[in-house]
Amino acid sequence: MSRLHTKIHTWVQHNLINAHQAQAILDYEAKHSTNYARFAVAGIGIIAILTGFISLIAANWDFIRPAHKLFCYALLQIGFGLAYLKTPGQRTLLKESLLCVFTLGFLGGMGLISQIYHLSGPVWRPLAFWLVLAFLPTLASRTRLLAHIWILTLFVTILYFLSHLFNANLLWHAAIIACSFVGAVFMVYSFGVGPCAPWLRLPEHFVQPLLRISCATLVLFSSVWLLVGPYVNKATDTNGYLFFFAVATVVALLSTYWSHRALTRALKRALCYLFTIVFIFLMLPFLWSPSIEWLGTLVYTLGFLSIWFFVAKIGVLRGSQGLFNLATFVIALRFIGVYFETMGSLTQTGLGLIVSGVLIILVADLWHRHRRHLLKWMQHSS
Amino acid sequence: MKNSSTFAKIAIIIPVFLMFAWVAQLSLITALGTQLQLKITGYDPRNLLSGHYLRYQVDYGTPLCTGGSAAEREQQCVCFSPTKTNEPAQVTWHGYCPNKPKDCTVYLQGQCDYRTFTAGIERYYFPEIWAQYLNNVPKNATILLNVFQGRGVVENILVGTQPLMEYIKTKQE
Repeated sequence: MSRLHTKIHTWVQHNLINAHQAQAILDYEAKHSTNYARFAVAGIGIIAILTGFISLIAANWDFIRPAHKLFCYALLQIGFGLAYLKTPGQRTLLKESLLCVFTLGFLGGMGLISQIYHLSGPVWRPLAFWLVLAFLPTLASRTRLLAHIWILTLFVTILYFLSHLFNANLLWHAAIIACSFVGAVFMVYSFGVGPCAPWLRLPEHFVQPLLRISCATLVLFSSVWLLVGPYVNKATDTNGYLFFFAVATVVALLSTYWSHRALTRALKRALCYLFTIVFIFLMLPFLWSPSIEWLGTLVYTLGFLSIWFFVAKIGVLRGSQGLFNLATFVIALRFIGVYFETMGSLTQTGLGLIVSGVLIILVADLWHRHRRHLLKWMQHSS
Repeated sequence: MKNSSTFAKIAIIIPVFLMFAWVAQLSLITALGTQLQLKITGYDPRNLLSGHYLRYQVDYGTPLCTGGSAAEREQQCVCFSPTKTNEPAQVTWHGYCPNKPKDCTVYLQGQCDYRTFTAGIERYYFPEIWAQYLNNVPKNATILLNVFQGRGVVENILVGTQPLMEYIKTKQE
């Protein structure tokens, strides 16, 4: 099924290992494998919880004295740090989540302190300060989530700094797109073949250039979407949408060029993966149903779930673990989407955000625990 | 294993220390700084309120930036002579910080953004629920500012002699 399964199967066929050894290896890897998507989703949940706490404080701003606000923040910040240090194990989801909350909590703290002391200034300064604060915790992290966030924040900070330095307000969007290009290409180079590779080394299976390219494309896609979204998010702005798609494709091809040393006969396969990822990403906006009556929403949701269940089935039939994981992951996200659609504007309150964060972490954990059962059922019924 | 545990402790302690050092610096400015009162005017009549804070421009009484020189984007200083209570402070000197007079002990560091001098004091946070009662910077508004070694921290906004929140509550009634 997975790349590891294929390799193990090949070794058994060539009598390099026997069947018993093969099964022992597979059992060990299944027990010790790390699912980075689970960490990423847990990260989203953590951010939602943090934002919820901040929102609760902000809503009661008038009634809390500044000294009390600072004291509560200090307790939370130090508390998360101590919890991380005291949590046993080296690389558990809980330990890494605590470190993530601790590191990202500095952003909330800076916002709180800015409000108490009425501070203002260019955007790049607090971001640069956060980069300094987050540097050591990022090095201490055993997963790559914080490293990726740190690198992305570095590029955003450089972008804002250059904009401030050259007072480039009129060139804002061109500068954003240009920096996004450079940023994504530099990330791929650093991650894979460049001088930062030893520090920003990816997990073993990410060394494959295919996934590297896909990640670079997704990062670029997301950054361009977030930054120019208000201009392309119009039903009639077809040209903007096509430009957006072309930008992602061109940079993905540039990323391919940077990784050409690692690519041999897999070029065609890489392009297939690339376009698959881009296509799937384009489908993601349909994660949330349009504003129609409840029967229409029900039909829409069932149709969406059916399509992705079908994609998961294709993953099983084609032996693609990645495709199966992605499809089940999207299905899990849809359930979270139902919560947001049901709660509506209440999710923007402090309590709503905290509940959202907890729900996201729970769904991520359930997805991780039960997708193997679904996989076995699909394989049995194939 | 011991090294990674030690490194983890350092990775937690140092950022927390840096963060609280920053808060201590701001508290020092508030506690030890010289209090000044400066007049303020509206920043942008179309968008005076953004989110939870009020944006304004400080009226120094004299133009500090000409908008023509690249050197003005470097550190600029403004010297003040404190005046009587409830009167805005007077600007005694302004220019490139290294050229600051030796007798200038109460000063603010900032930067010229074309014709606007900014020193990180042009924003005041308050609960958004009060925004409906404040759609413009009141005419006789001033800021109470604590200045220490060129850094300023806004303590309050006064409308006449009334703090801003009391002024808003009066308007609410």
